[in-house]
Amino acid sequence: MTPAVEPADPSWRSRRYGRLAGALFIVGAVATVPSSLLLEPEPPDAMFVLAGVAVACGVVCLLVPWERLSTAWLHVVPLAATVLVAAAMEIGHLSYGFLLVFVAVFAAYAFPDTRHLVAHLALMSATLLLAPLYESELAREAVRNALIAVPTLALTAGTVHYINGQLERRERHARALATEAIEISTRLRRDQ
Amino acid sequence: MNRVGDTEDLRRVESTAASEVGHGPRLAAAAAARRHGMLAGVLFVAASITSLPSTFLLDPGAPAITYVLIAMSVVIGIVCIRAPWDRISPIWLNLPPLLGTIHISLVVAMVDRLYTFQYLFVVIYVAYVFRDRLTVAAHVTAVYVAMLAPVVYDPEMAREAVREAALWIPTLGIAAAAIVYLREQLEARERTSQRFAREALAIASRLRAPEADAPLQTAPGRSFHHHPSERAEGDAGRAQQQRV
Repeated sequence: MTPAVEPADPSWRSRRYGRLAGALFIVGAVATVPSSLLLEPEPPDAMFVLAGVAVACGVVCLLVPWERLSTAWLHVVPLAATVLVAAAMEIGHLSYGFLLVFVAVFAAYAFPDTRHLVAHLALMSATLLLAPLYESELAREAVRNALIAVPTLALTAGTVHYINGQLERRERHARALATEAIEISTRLRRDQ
Repeated sequence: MNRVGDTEDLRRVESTAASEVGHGPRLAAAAAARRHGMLAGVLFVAASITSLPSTFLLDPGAPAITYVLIAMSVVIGIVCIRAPWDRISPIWLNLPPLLGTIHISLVVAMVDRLYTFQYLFVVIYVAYVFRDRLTVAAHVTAVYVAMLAPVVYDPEMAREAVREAALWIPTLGIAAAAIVYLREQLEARERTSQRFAREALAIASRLRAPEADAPLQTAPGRSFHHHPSERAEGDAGRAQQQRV
């Protein structure tokens, strides 16, 4: 199946990532519901309120005119998502830390600047590593969780970021080559 | 710029196209296979090393098999890094994610369910490496089956295993789908730019001075157009441009 090709201008890029963020918020929130229903003891209602907040964030992301905003606004997305995941870990269960996978993959794609990605990963790591503070009864499990989750998230984000960078570089190169070939053709035609 | 200068420029762009854009599909596939094989190896080694600190906090302490499994993973990683991926069939690239899934399921069964997190590596890898969506779906399904296996061999923890799977299955599925979608978009854009460059070079070739009007060669014996269908595609594109 050949995917449709979309234009590559920066506003299109912002819109694409904004919509992706919206879809991830909604699907991520819906995905937690079956798992919450199986939790023992049952999670407080606040857990479902949190899922509702995440869906609302998703709808906002889908409606925001990203192409008219600075790309810096995209940073709000992983920030809000990390805060929501931290709240889910506190209210529901430590295993909701898994949802940071969405945040890590999104940040790895949306931010070509490695420093931005590292900053978001640092925040996610802090969320996981600080879990023992608010889950004092499960401190040992929380630390163990963090020790496996932090490197996994970092490696995943690093891999996605690296390969995405390679693909973008190849695409830019092909585009530059095409532009140069057209310029030469134009000059040759003018000289004829 | 004069015609001689333009022709020199054209030859330079052709040469770059030959090395960067217009290289044969077989060479590109071999380079990609090598890169993907090495990536698998690096992920095996890195995942093993990064899982070490967490084993010291296992309660009760980590069984000896933990370290055997970690060592096994490092060995598989080294084999993947050193394997001649460019000289064997690309179908062998299915082996690392399969081995990864089996290895992680063994770790989950023998050490701790916490390591379920590492299935993420397998999913990210297959979503990037395999162009065929069915292959990606098959590997992700294998991960799902492995993830639900504790329901069979550990009935006491079945409810907990199902609960975790209920969270993980959509998470991994969505992560894979997002990566496949974004990768396909980037690749489609790259293909469009490459085709555009080839057509522009073909036009430039026809506009060159008659003495230099030999068919464009990207490498000895290889025309810039890889395949008659591409040439036809290029002619069709030019005809459309003329109509416009």
